[in-house]
Amino acid sequence: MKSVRSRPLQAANTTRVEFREGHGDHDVVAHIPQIRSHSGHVFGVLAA
Amino acid sequence: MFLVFLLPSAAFVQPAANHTITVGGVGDAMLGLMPDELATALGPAFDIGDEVRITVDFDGRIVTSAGAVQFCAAMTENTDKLTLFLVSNPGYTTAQGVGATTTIAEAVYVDETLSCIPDNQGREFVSFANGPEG
Repeated sequence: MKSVRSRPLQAANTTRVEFREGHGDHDVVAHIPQIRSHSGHVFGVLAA
Repeated sequence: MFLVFLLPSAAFVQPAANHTITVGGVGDAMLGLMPDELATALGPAFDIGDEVRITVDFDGRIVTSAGAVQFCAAMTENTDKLTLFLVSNPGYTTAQGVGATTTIAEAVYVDETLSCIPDNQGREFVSFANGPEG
């Protein structure tokens, strides 16, 4: 898992997530379209 | 004599629907149930569809109530047990209020861990945990 608590996400209405591990920036939706419960985790899918 | 008609009747008192998303499931639908057990857990107000392909990877059941899709329940481990719930209905949220249509910025600050996934072949993750740390 390439995880990050990303500084760009602090901004309200952000639509970008910056990954730290050499994957560059990704355009993402401002709203989480889907939430999943699976294997003891709850997570949102950015592109459902 | 007429007072009896004014008293609340247990027959008309409906329990509040459980719309909370947790690590264990969605509302009364819990991970590990079989589809028939899911029907029992949810009750007659819910309809559980036949098994269909619900993601590029998994088969599952679409759960509806009052004509609206509530969530999808999938089997991801080659068993008949439900191991994944997918919720796009904004009426369902975590205890902290995060659900479909919550903004990413709002999700960052909630008091829980929420991971987000660009749902593509890269399967990369972003973890939100109690706000950003920079």
